[in-house]
Order: sequence, then C-alpha cells, then structure tokens
Amino acid sequence: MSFDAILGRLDQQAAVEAVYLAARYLSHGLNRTSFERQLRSDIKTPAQRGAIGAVHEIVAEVEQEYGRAIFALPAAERLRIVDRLDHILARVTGPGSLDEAKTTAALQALRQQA
Amino acid sequence: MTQPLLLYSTATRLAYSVAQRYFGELHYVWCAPRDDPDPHAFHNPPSSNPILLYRTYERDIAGGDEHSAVIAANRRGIIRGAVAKEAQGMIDRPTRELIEAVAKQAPLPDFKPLLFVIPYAKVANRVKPAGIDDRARPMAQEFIIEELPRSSFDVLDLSR
Repeated sequence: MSFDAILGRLDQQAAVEAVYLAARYLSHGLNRTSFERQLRSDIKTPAQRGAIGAVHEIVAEVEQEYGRAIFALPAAERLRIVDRLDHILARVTGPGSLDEAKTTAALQALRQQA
Repeated sequence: MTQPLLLYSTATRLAYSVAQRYFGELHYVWCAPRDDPDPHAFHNPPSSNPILLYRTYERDIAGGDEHSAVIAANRRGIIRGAVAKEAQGMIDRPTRELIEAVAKQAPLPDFKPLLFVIPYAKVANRVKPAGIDDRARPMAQEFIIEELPRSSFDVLDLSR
C-alpha cells in the first residue's frame, strides 16, 4: 500500500494531521511508545482519531520496506520519506481558489506584523 | 526536579505573525529550559534544543536551503494549526485556505527565527511534558504549551 492510498482514505483535515504527525514520528526518530506519549500532551483535534491510524500504517509500511524500525533508520533516509509525505500534503491542500495577488497581500501584511 | 526559571522556544517570523493575526495572539509552542553548561549534565537531544534549532534556521536561510527540514516542518506546522483553528471555529474556511497558501508560498526569509523567552511561573498551569523518549537522558525536559498568550513571553531576535 502506498502513502497515497493510506492518506487518500482520509478527509483533508485528517490527511493534514496525519502528514504532520507522521513527519514528526520520522524526523524525530520516534517509536510507538514515545509517539503516543507525545500525543497525550499535544493538542487534540477532531481529525486526530483517523489520522493516528494512518500514521501507524505509514510507519508499518516504512518499517516493512526498510526492514528496520524508524528510529534505526539514518536521519537522511527518514527525511527523504518526510519529503515524500510533504509532496502528498501539497496535493491534499491543493492550490485552492485563491489568486496569487491575495496570497502576496496576506504575506505582506504578515511581514508588517512581525 | 526543580522548576526552571525560564523556558525557551524557537519560532519563525511567519508562524509568529500568523498566530498574532489569525489565532487571537495565542501561540502553540514546544519549549525547553536552558541547556545546562555542565558537559556532564543531562542534555536534551538536538531536535529539542531551542538554541540549536534557532541556529539551524539561521544556517538554512543563509545557505538558501530550499530543502531545509526545519523550514518544511514549520510550513507543515502552520498548515496544521490553521486546520485545527478552523475545526475550533476560530477561523473560517477562506482564512484557513489563505494561511495554507501563505505557508506554502512564503520564501525562506519569512522563516527567520525568533526566540521566545517564557517565565515558567506564568505558564506553570499550561505546560504539558512532551515526553522525550531518551532512556540515556532520563532528565531531558521538553514541554508543549497549546495556547501561549502573547502577554506571557518576550520575543528576541538574536540577529539584531
């Protein structure tokens, strides 16, 4: 099963949450225990229930593909997998209906804020 | 374990501005006490060290690293925050979409780091241990604050 298939079953909110959590799992080299410990302290979103199942599927997929636990993978390899997830996230969130001028104006306004 | 006097968190200008403008000046932060200068003391792993994270942002921006892992994580975090705030009813769908677009399109300089300095006493009832899993460093400390009011921390730009 590919990441696309796993994330494709989720609505947009759950897919965003799943990519965020899976990326954290991978980039920090977590294991199931530490991941679940972090989750207990983290914000709770309505999308989280579906997202967590997808994260475990993604982790299982990676561990099967590499024959090793996530935390045993080299950091560069873990980050390459995160990059794959980010590409899916870009598709999930999509270009939206916003025109570029509106986005640029919002960015300018935010720069004034900082 | 004694309570720290201060907690530190590294944010980015973009994430800070989004929270100020759209999230009611409430900031979602991961934070940690200062690193102990004693080399024999327990230390957080690098990914949980705000100062090291700050330097990583600076290095990646100065190097024009379009594939920076920390900046990618920040974009992801801003998008996740927007989705969560929409679910809470704090922002509407067009605003969430605008934040997503901004997070995806913002160039590297918008991710210049900022250091939040947070008096522990002001947030003691808000901090949750983040549960670093490092059996070699059982005293490592990292916390999550889900909604940190702007009035509860100072912001430092170490590049100035």
